[in-house]
Amino acid sequence: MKNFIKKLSIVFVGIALAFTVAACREEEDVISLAEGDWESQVFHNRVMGFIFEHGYGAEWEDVQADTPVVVQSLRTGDIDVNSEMWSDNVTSYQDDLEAGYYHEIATNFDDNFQGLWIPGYLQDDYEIYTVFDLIEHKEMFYSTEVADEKGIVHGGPSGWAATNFLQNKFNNEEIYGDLSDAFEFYPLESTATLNVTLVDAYESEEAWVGYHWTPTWPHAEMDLRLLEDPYEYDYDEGTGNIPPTPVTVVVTDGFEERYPEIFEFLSNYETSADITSEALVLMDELDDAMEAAKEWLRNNEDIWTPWVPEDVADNVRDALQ
Amino acid sequence: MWQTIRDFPERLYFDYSVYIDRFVDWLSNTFEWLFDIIRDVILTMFDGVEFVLGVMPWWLYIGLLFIAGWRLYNVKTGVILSLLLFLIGVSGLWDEMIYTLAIIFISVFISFLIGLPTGILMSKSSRLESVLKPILDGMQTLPSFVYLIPALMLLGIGRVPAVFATTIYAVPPLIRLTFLGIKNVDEQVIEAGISFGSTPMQMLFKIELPQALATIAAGLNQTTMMAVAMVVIASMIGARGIGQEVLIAIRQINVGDGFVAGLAIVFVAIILDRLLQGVTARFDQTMETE
Repeated sequence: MKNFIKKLSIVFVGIALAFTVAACREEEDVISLAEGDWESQVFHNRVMGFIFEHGYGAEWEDVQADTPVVVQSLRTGDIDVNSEMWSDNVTSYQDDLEAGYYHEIATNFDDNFQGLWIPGYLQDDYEIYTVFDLIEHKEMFYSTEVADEKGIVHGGPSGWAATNFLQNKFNNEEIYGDLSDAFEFYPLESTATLNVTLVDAYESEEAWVGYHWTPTWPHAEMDLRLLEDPYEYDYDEGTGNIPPTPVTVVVTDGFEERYPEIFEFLSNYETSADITSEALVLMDELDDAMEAAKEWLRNNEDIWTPWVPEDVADNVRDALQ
Repeated sequence: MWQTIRDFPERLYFDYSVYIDRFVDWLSNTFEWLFDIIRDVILTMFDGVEFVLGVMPWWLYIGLLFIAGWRLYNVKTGVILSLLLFLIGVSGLWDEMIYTLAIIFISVFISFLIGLPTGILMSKSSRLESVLKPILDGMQTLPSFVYLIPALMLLGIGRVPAVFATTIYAVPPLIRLTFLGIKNVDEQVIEAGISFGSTPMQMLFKIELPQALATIAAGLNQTTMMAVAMVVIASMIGARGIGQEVLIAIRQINVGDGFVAGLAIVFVAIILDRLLQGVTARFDQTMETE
């Protein structure tokens, strides 16, 4: 019996050791990149990952997670880098930065558009340019999911700043009373669902109006037009057009000490919505995110070489051959 | 060297996703009229159920639930059940609960319409049994988003695909337990029926179904619980209700709100479960005394 316990404890210690070793290795060697469910982040992660791996010889992994999970993991350090933090859509963002849970080290791009979009054919056929032009064509937008005699405006997930803003717009009786009499704002809790409604309508050239944002693949593949709002922007009143959101690069606390060189590279990371859109088209053509990232790196040396020192750039170039 | 033996050979890759795409396209083009009918039927049912559920005042619900709990079990159960319902109201989720209940009831009703005959047929044909069993397993294990996206394309957003998805997820236990209940009817009872010269129909309705009733009721209970479990997923495709509150809360990392809404779903499940079990037990009792 005693012998058995001895054996058992040895096995346990062995397992515990193995786990400890495994845990340590992961924590020290692998950079975790957050990956949300939109494609532009997949692209940026591949570009970063490729440079980590071939420029700096660091291992990396992507962790698929929803935005709240990403934010929580950045706080705890389970995720190291978020290449696209839609700062306005994360309610706790400023507080988290002040508390020092994670750090904003660069702005990936801030020339994106958010708002209400319609397909191009709709604008051409019915001359709908502003949100108010929608009102006289409300019959086209009828839906069984909203009140009778009302059109549906597809919204993004509740809790996103843009969704709240649009909700404020439809609650603003004074300025948008006619609009909210004719239309109901209907938030959809998943961007996949939002995209299905859009693609489905676009393919059969039906009427669709709803929240969307650039840079995303629907804008690369379809002709979508942003509706204008003639009023001055005010978040609480819901007036005007949504100003571009800074999409930032954030790293978890302590990342700088662990990877000073990579920290340096990430602080220089900067693209634009147009660059990202083009990359998304490339990604769609090649049907492979990693191949698209490589192709992009080959063709855009002028953009990425200033982010890294010369020797790192050489390493990356060699790997691209 | 080892790698070439170990790795799956790339030349054997075969992408059959295009055929599925084509099939869904074909489905939506050919059967558009059918999906329109399904839409209309489910929407009409939903409006009706929501009207009936919504027209009753809240205190009547709580009173009736207390009486039901008291009659089916005892005073204590009656108090607990009505207290749980009261808590849902206190959380400010009453209207959401009505919406969620409507989806659950309609899905369970459709599950019943589909599940009972399917279970009976399955118990009569071993070939159907061998075909259906793996399909039922597949329905429950296939990640729901996989069929939700085509469901969205065919049925639009909102309540209709929510009912559709909930039904797909909830119907298997009812089919399985109907099948099991009829299969397990005592041989001797069947033989007695045959010797008295009963027709297959008489056999089914007078002997097999009554004997299997307890098992079928258990299946109905499981189906209802599965339907409750789907309410959060249903909210990802545009349905409202308590599920949406859960999604909103977790998106904002609002742990407290998330639990409040999540617990409301648990309470709905407990109440429905107790009621169904109580009714079933009552049924068994009367059957036995007969």
